[in-house]
Amino acid sequence: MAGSGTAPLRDGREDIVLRVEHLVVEFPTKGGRVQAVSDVSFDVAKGETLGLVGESGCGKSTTGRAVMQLPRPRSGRVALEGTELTSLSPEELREMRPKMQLIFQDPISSLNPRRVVVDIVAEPLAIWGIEENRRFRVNHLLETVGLDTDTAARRPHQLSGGQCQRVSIARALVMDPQVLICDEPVSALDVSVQAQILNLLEDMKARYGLTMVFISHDLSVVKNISDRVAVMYLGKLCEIAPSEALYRRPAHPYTNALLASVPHPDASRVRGKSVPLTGELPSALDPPSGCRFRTRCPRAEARCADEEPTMRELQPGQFVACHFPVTPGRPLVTTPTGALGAPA
Amino acid sequence: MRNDAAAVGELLDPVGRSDFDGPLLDVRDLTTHFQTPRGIVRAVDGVSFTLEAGRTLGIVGESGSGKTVLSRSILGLSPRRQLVDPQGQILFEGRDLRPMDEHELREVRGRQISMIFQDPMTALNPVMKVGRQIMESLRVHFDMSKADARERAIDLLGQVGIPSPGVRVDEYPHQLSGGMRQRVMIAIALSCEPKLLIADEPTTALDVTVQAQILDLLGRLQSERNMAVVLISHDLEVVGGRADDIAVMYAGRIVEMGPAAELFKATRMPYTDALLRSVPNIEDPPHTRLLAIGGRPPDLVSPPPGCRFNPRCPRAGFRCGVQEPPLAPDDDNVHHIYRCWYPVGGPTGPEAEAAEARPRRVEH
Repeated sequence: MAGSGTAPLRDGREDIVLRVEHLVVEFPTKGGRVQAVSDVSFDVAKGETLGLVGESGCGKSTTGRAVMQLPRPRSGRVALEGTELTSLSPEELREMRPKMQLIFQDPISSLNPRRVVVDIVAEPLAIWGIEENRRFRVNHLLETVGLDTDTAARRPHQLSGGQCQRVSIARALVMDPQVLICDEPVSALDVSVQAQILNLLEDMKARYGLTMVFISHDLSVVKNISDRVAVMYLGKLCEIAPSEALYRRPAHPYTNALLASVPHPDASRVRGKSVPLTGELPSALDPPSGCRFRTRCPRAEARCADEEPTMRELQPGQFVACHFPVTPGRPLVTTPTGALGAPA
Repeated sequence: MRNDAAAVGELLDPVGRSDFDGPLLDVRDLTTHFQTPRGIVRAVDGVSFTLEAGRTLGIVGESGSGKTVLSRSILGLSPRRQLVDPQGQILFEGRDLRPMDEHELREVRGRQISMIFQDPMTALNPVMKVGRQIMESLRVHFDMSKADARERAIDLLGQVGIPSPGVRVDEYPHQLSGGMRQRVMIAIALSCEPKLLIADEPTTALDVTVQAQILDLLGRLQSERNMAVVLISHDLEVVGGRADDIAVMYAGRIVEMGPAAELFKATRMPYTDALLRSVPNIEDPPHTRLLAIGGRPPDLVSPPPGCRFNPRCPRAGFRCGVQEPPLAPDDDNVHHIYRCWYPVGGPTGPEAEAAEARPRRVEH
């Protein structure tokens, strides 16, 4: 699980918009330093959506924010269209900010409750002193995200969660960004509304040529929207691969465990075959040596404690940080009571 | 609901059981309306179902569908002062809980019927050790000594899979992870060996891997104790794999109910169908377009006339906006009931109405 190493970076490609290398984020606390993100590297090409999945506390949101330099990472590099962000002065960074926008999980609390929708969406333009066509741009965007003129004059508390998320999307798009980072944008929404917002994000991506980083704990949602998916555990990357490949033949034991936990309406299909994860997430204050997943891994051996696995390419485009990756069709672990198969 | 309420109860009832003559829980035409400054909110509007011992009923709906109010109404936990003209019966082993006063309800709550709430952090007392919170109900209901209750609490913590329960029993909720807190909630809920457990979104605040653990644990404890469970969730997939029967709620009413497999295989009500299709399927390729339901759930102060789903329904005809369909059984399976004039699998509203209108035009 170590997930250290820069193997997944595609340096040969010309169209890389966002490149993150050796990203480290730590937070000082009374009990010591929380190692929230430890040496994470990935890149996102133009027009691509990278999904970032993992359980709470794995560092996926912190990664998203560190990319935005909110706050600045402790070490590592983040390059946006070739511009290195970590070494920019505050003023230079401010100039770069419109190119990257963030959409938050809680649509209601991320909007100013005292302003009307049209002002919320126009605010970035106001901050940057863009007068030209301001009304037109705002109204056009509101219409594009599916809000009528009646809604434009309302305040956030008069809107539903789904409408608020549409406002957040309009606000994020008004500066014409290159990269959109979505942090659990549909988790607080009802399923019927969730589908509307996911479809809207796909439409906006196509229309404005956006590059997206989509952070979520929901594996089905991430598969639906992403071209590539990165799985995180305790501040490290486990696996990164094209969505289809990752879901069809997950190589990392943790990816397998995650996929086995997804509930399926047809009970007989998945249950019984799954190897449920046991134990608790270790503390990020004192993560396990070697591979961070080894304390809960059904395949862990002595080597996993001594040596941190680095990212390596298992299949074209599929990178995994594991000494003993899962082979499709072979048992995940063999126990005395019989083989527990890896989910197909 | 109307006079079909009693019939519905019988429909979902498989074969009669031995010791108690009738279902463990028989909810008939339950109505919970609240007085609010905006008017009367019809949170639960005529709901009927039955539940046998050892079985699981899943209740699925979006926020505001009334599923949580329904579960709280069963235990008499809705705010009484705001209640307007509560109707219906809640027959638990034949006794009606609805007219009971607080004193009588206390004998039932925790002892016969217990509940697991969604958020384990706010449902637990933050300044009381978890062991004492488990002991509390044991001491109230069984008049146990402190030492006995403590021993039982440690035993229960072990049963719900908490490692070193002898240590954890003296810890406070903030010292436990979310999954552990939910296990403590389950230990409290099961401490008095209830016959019925109501679990309201028991895993919504938890990660998928923990969710699977908790649901497996609940399932195991349920079969060990032959306990009936009402499992409430917004997530059809969570409920689908765990429930024997599923009831789908929309705007305060049950709109479709039946055996879980049947409901997924032969969905009739367009709302259930839309709900199933709007969730991304993990087996579909990336960028599969989702079939979103347009619009929003109705305001329960003034629900739309006719079928409550008709303003958002892609199949709605003229009749749907005028006349509310009854909760009636399917032609193929009497245990599968739904409210719809033009169910999935047949002609849509406009098609059916055009076909009906044609011969009339000929007569003129």
